[in-house]
Order: sequence, then C-alpha cells, then structure tokens
Amino acid sequence: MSDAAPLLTLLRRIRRRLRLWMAVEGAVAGAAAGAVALAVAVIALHVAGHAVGLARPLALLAGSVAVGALVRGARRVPLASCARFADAALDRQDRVLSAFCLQGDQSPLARALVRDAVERTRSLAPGGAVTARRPKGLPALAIGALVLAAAAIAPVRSRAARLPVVTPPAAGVPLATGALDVEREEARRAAEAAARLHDDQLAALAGELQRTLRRLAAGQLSDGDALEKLSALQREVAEAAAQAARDANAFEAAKKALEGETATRGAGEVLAAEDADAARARAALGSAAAENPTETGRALSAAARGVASALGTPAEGGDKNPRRLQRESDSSDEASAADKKGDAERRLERLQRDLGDAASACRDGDPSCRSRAEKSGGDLGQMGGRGASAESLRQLERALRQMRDRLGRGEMRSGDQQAMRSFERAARGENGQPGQGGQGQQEGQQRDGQQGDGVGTGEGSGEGQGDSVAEGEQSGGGESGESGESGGKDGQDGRDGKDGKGGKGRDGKGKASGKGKDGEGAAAAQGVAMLGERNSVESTGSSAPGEGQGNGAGGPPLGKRGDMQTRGHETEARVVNGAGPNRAEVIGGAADRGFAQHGYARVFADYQAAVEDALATTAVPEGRRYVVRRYFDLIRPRTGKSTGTPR
Amino acid sequence: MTAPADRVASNDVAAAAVAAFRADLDRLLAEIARRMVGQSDIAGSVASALLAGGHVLLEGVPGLGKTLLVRTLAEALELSFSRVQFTPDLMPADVLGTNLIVESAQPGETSRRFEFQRGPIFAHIVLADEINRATPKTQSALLEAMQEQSVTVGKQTYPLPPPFFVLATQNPIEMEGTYPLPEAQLDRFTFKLRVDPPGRDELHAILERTTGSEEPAVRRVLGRERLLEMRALVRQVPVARPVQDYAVRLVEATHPARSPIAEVKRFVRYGSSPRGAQSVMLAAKIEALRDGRFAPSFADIRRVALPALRHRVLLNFDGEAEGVTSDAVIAALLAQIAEVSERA
Repeated sequence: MSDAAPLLTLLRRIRRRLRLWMAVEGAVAGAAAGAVALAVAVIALHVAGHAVGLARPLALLAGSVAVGALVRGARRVPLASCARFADAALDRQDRVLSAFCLQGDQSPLARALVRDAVERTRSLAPGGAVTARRPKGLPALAIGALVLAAAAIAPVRSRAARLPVVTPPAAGVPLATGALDVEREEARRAAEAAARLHDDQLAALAGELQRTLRRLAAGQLSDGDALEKLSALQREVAEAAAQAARDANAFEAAKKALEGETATRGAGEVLAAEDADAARARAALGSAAAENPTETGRALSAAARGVASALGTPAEGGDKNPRRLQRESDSSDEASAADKKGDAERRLERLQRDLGDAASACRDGDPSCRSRAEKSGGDLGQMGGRGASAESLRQLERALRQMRDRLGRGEMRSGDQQAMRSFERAARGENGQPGQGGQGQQEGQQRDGQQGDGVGTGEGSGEGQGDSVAEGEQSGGGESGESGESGGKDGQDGRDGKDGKGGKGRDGKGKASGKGKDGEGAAAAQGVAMLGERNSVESTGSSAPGEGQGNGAGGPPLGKRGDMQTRGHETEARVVNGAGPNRAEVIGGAADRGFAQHGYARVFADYQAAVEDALATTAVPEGRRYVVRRYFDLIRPRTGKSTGTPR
Repeated sequence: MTAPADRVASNDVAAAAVAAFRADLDRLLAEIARRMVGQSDIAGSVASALLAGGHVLLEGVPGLGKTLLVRTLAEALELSFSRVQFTPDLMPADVLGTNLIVESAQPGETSRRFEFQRGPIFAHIVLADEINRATPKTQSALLEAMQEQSVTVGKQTYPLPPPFFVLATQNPIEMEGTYPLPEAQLDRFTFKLRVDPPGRDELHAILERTTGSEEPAVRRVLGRERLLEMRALVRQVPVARPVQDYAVRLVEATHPARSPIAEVKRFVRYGSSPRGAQSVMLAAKIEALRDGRFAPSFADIRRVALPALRHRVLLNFDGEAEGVTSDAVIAALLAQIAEVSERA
C-alpha cells in the first residue's frame, strides 16, 4: 500500500462531494435558465391567447433542473483540483497538491512531503474541504422565478382582443337615419321652387345639395369633405341669393313703375301675379306699347330708373367693377363669384339700357317701340322669376349653414356621441331648461339653486320650431358656467326674431339662432351671475392679466439645463479614461506628423549630431543613452531623408 | 524498492533535515537582527539568495545599512568577506587580481616569475559597493566570477572559494557619472532588493544601538560546511508540477510577444531569461524550507517573484516615458496569471 493511499482516498471522497455540489449548482443554473425560458414561452402563449396549464411548465422546469445537474455533475473533476480544495481547507500551502503530484517521487523529501500531507489531512473530512455554500446561480434563479411569476399573472389575451382591430375610417360612416331629414326637406323645397320658378340655377344648387346629402348619408363622404363641399355650396347659394335679391329689387322697382301708368298697369299686374311668366309679361307690355306708346314709353322710362336705382352705385360703375374683379380673380377663389356678380350687374345694366331704349323708341314713335317693349317685358318677366327664387335661395343657404354647424359639432353622427355630450353637460350641471321664447330677458333656473339673468335677443320662427345653436362658455372667474340656451321655439310670426332664449347661470354666454317660416335671426345672450347659495360670485366674463408687481421668487435666470432649444442635436462626448494621450503618444503623434515646421530636418540633424557627440564623450549610462536615442528616433523628420538614428 | 522501515527512517531524516535547515536559518537571521534594525525582509532575501547560490543587488540610498548587513552576514557565517568600493577609475585587475613579477632569491640563483596576486573578489562574500559607479569594463569583470564561480586572468583560471556570494549595492538617485548595469550583468543577480528607509520605531532602535557604549557583537552561527549542506538541501526540495508550471507561466508572461497581459505587451521590451525562472524556483524552495515545508507552494512563487524578476523585466520607451515600473508590471502579472493553468 502506498503512502499516498489515504490521501487518494480522501481526494476521491472530496471529488464525490464536489460533484454533488456541482450538480446542485447545475440544477440551480438549469432552473434559472428554465424559468426564464418558461417565462418567455408563457408570455408568448398569453399574447397568443392560449392559457398555460401547470403540468407542462412543471415538467419543463424539472427537465431543465435535471439537465443542468447532469451537465455540471458529469464534468470531469481532476484529483488535483480536489487537492486544491483540501489545501484551501488546511493552510493554503499546497501540501496536498504537492503530495498528490509527487506521490511517485521516491526522494526523501518527496516521501516526507506525502507523509506530512497524509498526517495533516487525517482529520480532514470531505465536508470540510468542500463546504456547503450558496449556489452561484441562486440570484439568477430568483430573477427567473420573478420573471416567471410575472409572466404567469399576465392576463391572457382574449379571443376578441386577438381579432384584428378595425378602426372605422373617418370617411364613409353612414349617418343615422333621420339625421339629414331637415336638410333633405330644404333641398326638396328648393327643387320644387326651382321647378315652379323655372330657375335653372336654383335647380342646379338644390340638385347639388341633394347629391351631397345622399353621399353623406351613405357614408361616401367624410365629415371634412362634406364640410368643404357644403361650404362651397353655401357660398354659391349665398351669391345666387344676393343676385336674386338684387333682381327682385330691380323687378319691384320696374313693376311699380309700370303699375304707375294707366297703359302699363295691366302689364304690371301680370308681373305682380305669382304665376306670372315672361311670355305673358312680354305680351302685356307689347300690347300696351301698341295701344299707347307715349304712356308706355314713360312707364318704361320710369322702370329703367327703377332698375338703375336698384343697381345703385355698382350699376354706375359697372364698367369698372368687372375689370377690377377680373384683375383680382386671377388667383383668387372668388373669381367665379365675382364674374357672376358682374354678369348680374351687366344684365341689369342691359335691362336698364333696353328699357331706356324702348322708352325712347315709344316716346319718339319709333316703329320698334312695340318690339322693344315686348323684349323688355320678357326680360322683366325673367327677372321677376329670378327674384322670386331669392327667398328659396336664402332658405337653402340658411339650411346649408346650419348643416355645416351641426356637422362641425358632430351632431349628425351617431347618437352615442350626442348622448355622451348630453351626459357631460348633465354631469356639469349645465343642462338648461327648455327655451322659452317671446321675451328678450329671462331668468334661468340653475340646478344648484343659483339664479342667473339671461338677456337675449333672437328671432323665432313662425312655426314655433327651429334649430338652435347653443354655446356655453365659462369665464375665468366663474365657478361654473351655464351654457346658454337657445331656442327659437315659438317666435310668433316673428319677423324680427324676438324669441330667443338667453343663457342662464353664472357667467354663461349663449348664442342662439333660430329659423322659422317667416322669420330668422340669431340670438345672443349674456348671463350675469347672481348671488347663489354656495358662493356669491359676480364675475365678469373674462379674466385679464393683472397689473403691478409680484413679490414671489422668480425662476432660475438661466433656466434649467437642457431647456435651451437649439437647432443642433445633443451628442454625448466620450473620453477614454479622461486623460487624453499620454506622453509617448504625444511625442509619437507629433513625430508622425513630421513636426511640420520649416527647416526642421536641418535643425534636427544639427541637434542629433550634438547629442551623439555628447553621448560619445560623456559618461551617460547605457540605459539613458537608449532613452535619448529612442527619443530622437521618434522625433526625427519623417518627410526628409532618414538620419539613420540607431534605435 | 525501499523497505517500509527504511522509508520511515528516511522520512524522519528528511523531516529532521528540513527542521534543522529552518532552525539554522532562523538562528542566522536572528543573529543578523541583533545588529541590524529592521530590514528583516531584506535580510531574509539576502540569506535566501546566499542559500540559493546566487547574488543580490541591493538598491537604496546611502546610509540604510546595506554594507552593515553584508558585514554582519559574513561575520555570522564565519566566511571571508571583502569589500570593493566601485569607482569610475576602478580597473578589473583591482577586483580580480593581477599577475606580478616575483623574484625568488635562492642561494646561487635568482629567478623571476609571474605570480597571481588575488584580488578582493577572492572571498566568500564580496560587497561590491556602488557597483554602478564603475565602468562597464570593470562591471563585466564580475560576470565570470558570479556565474562560473571562477576568475580567469591571462590563461589561468582560478576557482573562487565556495560559497561565493556577491552583494552589490547601487544608489538609485545619483545617476550622474554612473553606468547602469548592463542586462547581462543584471541577470546574474538572483534578487534585486530595494532597501527602504527605516520607520520611526526602527530609527529609535538604530539610535539606541549605535550611539550607546555597547556595540552588539555578532556570533558565528553557521560554518561554511553547514552552509554548503543547506545549499545542497535546497536543491533536493521537490516541486509539484502545477507549482513549477505557475513559475514558468509567470516568467513566460514577462515576454511581450507571448504575454497575455496588456501591461507587458505595452510597456515591456524584454522579459525575463531562464535564469529568472531558476531564481524564482530556488527562492521558492528556500521559502518552503524556511516555513518547514517540503515543497514550495504557489504563495512561495508569488512571494519571491518580485525580487527575482524586477531587474529582468526591461521596460521599453513607452514604459520609461510613462513612468511605469517593472514592479507594477510584475504586480499585474501576479494579479492576472492564474495559479493553475486552464489547460492543466
């Protein structure tokens, strides 16, 4: 039996314990890795909407533990390593390692070494050499467990959530049924009026509105596009209404002039009739010219003046305005409107001129009196028809404006949004009471017991129903603004639209507009706060910046770091060690650049020669000579001829 | 095959030899400590170099007791001692000796012959004081003596009396008019030791010992024969392969071409020669014997690596310019070289 046999036995026992601990560490590491992998898998499955059971994860964890333990526990452990563990347990003088390595050496000292090691390890147990310690992978295992726990409690994505989210496009959402009933009715009325009055322009505008409504209702038009469309249509209708109003004025003036003369009174009555048309007016005025040309001429002359008065100033400058508008219309959106306006004026001017010519012809006994009178009658009849459509155009324009407002506020959209707005208003206590028309000043009752005065002016419709537009606004000083209410509810035959409803509540400001059959208008109400139960606040509608000086501390004069906005971008500067180049690098770098100075090569040669002389004639240590020569070698001019400095 | 009884006997003998070595060395160091205040590490390293058959280069400012240490060592060892003050005009013959014409006056006949007059190097312990003040020519005269333990003058070689131990000193401050030792000369020294100034307590002790009326006498504790026996025992100390491999890897790592250490690659011009590894290993063996152990450990290697390698690691220009010392490079080596190789 060898002297080292007990030592080898001990080392083998140490190796077994070492393997056991390595297996434990491998198991911990495997568990940590398995936990992290399992967490990733659980998260992925949860996102995919699959619930994870318990059996498979546990099996996976157990497998990773087993694999880790096997991998680490099966690793080769040399006995020399075990000897180092034993030495560490003794005195770290490598007695066991040396004895193990030199067990075959038969020299006296080697044998004494083995014997000494055996003696010293006699009382050493494997547990003393390989002490129980916390596995290295324990922190990783803890982290893995935390990640796994977090993944396990992460909610499983529902099946509905996994369905592709279809976001409704802004365009193409059909409107609720009945949302456009009012506008449809207006369009229908306009179309009927156009047919009755033979007004092609009104018919075209009504048709365009009907098409827009159809597309909007069918979801073929977004709100934004619809707003643009309606805006353009409204401008066009407004222009047409203005022209029609001017035609109506001119027509009225001409009609009164014709009714003023006995001979042409019949023609005037024809024109005044609701069912008057151009043909009848033409015939009536032609017959009047044939029967009494002088009186007819006088009436036509008066009609021409009436048309001229209707034209007013623009008519006098009719030759200039079109040119000015033409110049401005080169790049303006109002070019077409200006052209139309110019056409209308030119038409009236032409009518005025024709009436004047016809009057002159009749006064002068010109044979063309009758024909000219007939032409003028026809023109007046047409103008009367156009003037008759003015009201329809105004109604159409008003309907378009209200439709734009409703569409802009989203009131045409689904009832959910309206319900939500109603709920919000209710939550803020802003729900006012139904409007009451008929008086310009009302008192409003507020939910919280406060009262407010509302002063409103408005117009109500004759039918007692009108669309209202209300806006609530809260000023800075008010506690809770009360929305103004509007409602042209029951304007009784109100041509001037007296029936608005003022806003009520404190600091409320309301605007109201209503429309009716015979009246239209807008109401504005300003609510003034009165004393309430909670707070006696009387506030003005808006806050204003105060004057004077404050006594508070100001902010930092230079602002905070990073507040400065510049056009550049921030870049973090990194400096290696923060020390910059060392001396050797500075010298070497400068040498690489050749010390770009004029005449450096000549100066260097002189200095190097002097240094070599000094080195040769003085007792400079060899080591220092090396440093000096190395320095001169580094700083030698690189662009010139090599000086052959020894290294 | 050795019989068990003989084996036990030989084990006892070996243990006794190690114990005697330890005791003798402790007595020697204790005797030195009677006169020398402090510098116990220096004294131990000097004794180690002496037992390893090497030489020591002491570096330190004047007045730190370098010469006193050598004289005390010589007295305690009962060895011959000579001191050579190296100066720029010192010639090799002044150190080694020279042939003189000697007349022999015999009756009726007068003959003249050359007779070698031995220089101061013919001593067991030679103190080469301020060795860097001599010219390289004179410094080189020590090369053969230090390595071959012999002196050749003319065609005659004269062996030096064993044990031959050179202890050289040099002043690191006064560099003017000095000649740093060439690398070949430096490599002959087992250790290069830096002597630090004494501390406050040590200075008190120095004053008490040297300014009083009694001067501590040094007894001879070891004879020449015993010293040679101890040297022989050092050579018998076995070394485990991993420990030797650690020393080899350390020395190998001092070479910039083969070193994995960044500091070495950047700042070192030349690494240690195999003499460095020899010095490390012998010194580690002595360290083990001083501790009563039969084989050196990794810790022994680490302990002796600095004095054994610091003069064998030559810095390049970058190192010189950056003010890096060879001690720092070796410290980096010891910190980064693993005791057991990954391949082992």
